Amino acid sequence: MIELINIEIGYHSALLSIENLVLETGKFYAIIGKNGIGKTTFIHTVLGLIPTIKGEIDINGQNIHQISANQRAQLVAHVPSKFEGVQHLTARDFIAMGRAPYTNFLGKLAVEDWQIVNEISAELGIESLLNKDTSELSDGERQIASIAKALVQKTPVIVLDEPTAFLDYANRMSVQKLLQKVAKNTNVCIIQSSHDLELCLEFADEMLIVEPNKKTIVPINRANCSKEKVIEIAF
Amino acid sequence: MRMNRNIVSWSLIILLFALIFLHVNGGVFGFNFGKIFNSIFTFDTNDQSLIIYRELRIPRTFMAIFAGMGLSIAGLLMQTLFNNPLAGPSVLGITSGASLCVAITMMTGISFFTSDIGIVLIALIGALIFSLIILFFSLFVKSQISLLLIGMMLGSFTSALIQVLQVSSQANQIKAFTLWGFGSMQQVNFNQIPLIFGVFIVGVFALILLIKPLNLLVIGEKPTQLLGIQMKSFRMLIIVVTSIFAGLITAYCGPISFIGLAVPNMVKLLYKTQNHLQLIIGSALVGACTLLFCDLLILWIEPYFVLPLNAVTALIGAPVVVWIILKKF
Repeated sequence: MIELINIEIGYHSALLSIENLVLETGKFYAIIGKNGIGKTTFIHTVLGLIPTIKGEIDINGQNIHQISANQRAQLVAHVPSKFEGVQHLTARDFIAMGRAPYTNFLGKLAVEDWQIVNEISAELGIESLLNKDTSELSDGERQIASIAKALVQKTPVIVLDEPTAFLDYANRMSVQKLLQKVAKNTNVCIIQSSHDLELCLEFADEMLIVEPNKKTIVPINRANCSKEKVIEIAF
Repeated sequence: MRMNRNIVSWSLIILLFALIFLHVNGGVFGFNFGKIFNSIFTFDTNDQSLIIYRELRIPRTFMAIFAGMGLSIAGLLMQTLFNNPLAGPSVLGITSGASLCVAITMMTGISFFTSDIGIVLIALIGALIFSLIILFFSLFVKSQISLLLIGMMLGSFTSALIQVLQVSSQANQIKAFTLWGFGSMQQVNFNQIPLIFGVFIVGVFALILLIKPLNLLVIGEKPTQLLGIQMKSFRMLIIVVTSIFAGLITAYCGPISFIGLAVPNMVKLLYKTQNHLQLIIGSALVGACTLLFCDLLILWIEPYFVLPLNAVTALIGAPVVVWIILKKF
């Protein structure tokens, strides 16, 4: 569970202020809003990369800005909009990087760590990709591998920054379906920012709409939500 | 794959020993274990052949091995830190920093700094300062090429400063500095070996701490941070370790170019991995072999004419660099 308690976020001046917002595990959230409204800043704040101006963000009761980078990496994982791939880095080694917060200073993975990598890969059906070079995967495959890496990190919260921005339609669909399934089955709180309104309305449990006038986030359940309503609030 | 890498490593180790035996015998192949052992452990000043080994050959071989290893590892660290296959201690101006400090001490003649520890210290400080300057610029320039150009400008700037220093120096000081600038494995004597080895080992221990974060860093700084690595202290540690290797070697061998740039690229081609434990071992082995080979060429050509080391490394290194540019940019 992630709690945002009376926070103001932004780099110098407040971009967004949120009074109280509780995001639950097992649910798939979509942040929707205009360009430049502060979606990425919000994500960076939740990841602990930038401090809040006011208030605190707790994940499972721990203030993420007051713990070490390693402890934070055990609470929240990140999937960027694009992973370019690295020559000579196999998908297996890339996904296994998600275990880094649990290894000692030498970074050697234990048998259990490799087991987790294999389990998650099997769950996502990407075992055949594991030995491939990440620079030779397709954009869609790389994005699934990035999600696998985040899952291997075994955090209660996963944050995705426009995960479908660089994908074709079929891959967008499959990534959204996957995230929906993962949120339900593994009891993780998944938060994505997205401009794919239709897909979000189809797959996400709740819309977090960034309201431009009050500069705050309005949560609306999918059941009470329509495309028109989202557009009216957000744009 | 793992199998292949082991074969590569063992072949390199065999090659390294072959080159060591060639090199320590002055370019001729032979097994003189007895003489080498005696000249190190039961040295007798009356035996002329032992003097040759102790005073000339062993220090020169030792230096070629460790300079090759250190510069290549420093290059690997820079390439991973700046995510740039053309980075290296000489390209980024880090050896220039060490050179400048050495020039200042050689030409001003402050005696503390001309002692062994003094010269190592001052070269380390010079390398560290210039690394920090590059690190500072890297926070602002986003393009890989810009950072390389800034490194080259740092290099030009320091050589200009050194020329200014030379105007007011005496002829013998200028000569000493110019010879040092050619790069050479012959300026080390037997008694300096423990100090060089000691500093090198300190660098190696610090390297062990870097392996895990380096392996993560190949996917970028932000992802590394989000996997629990304290980027600020990690970046500083890379800079310190690089400065230890680059500074130490520059102090004793002069500013050697191309090794730190070319070797890690050859290693990645050979090993086909991003595992930095293997890349470090590979860079150490290939680096030592390459520099021993370059110095062997000098030994072989010596009867006809004397080649400066930097000419040899450039002759071999420049084509490699052009090849990297064609492949990666």
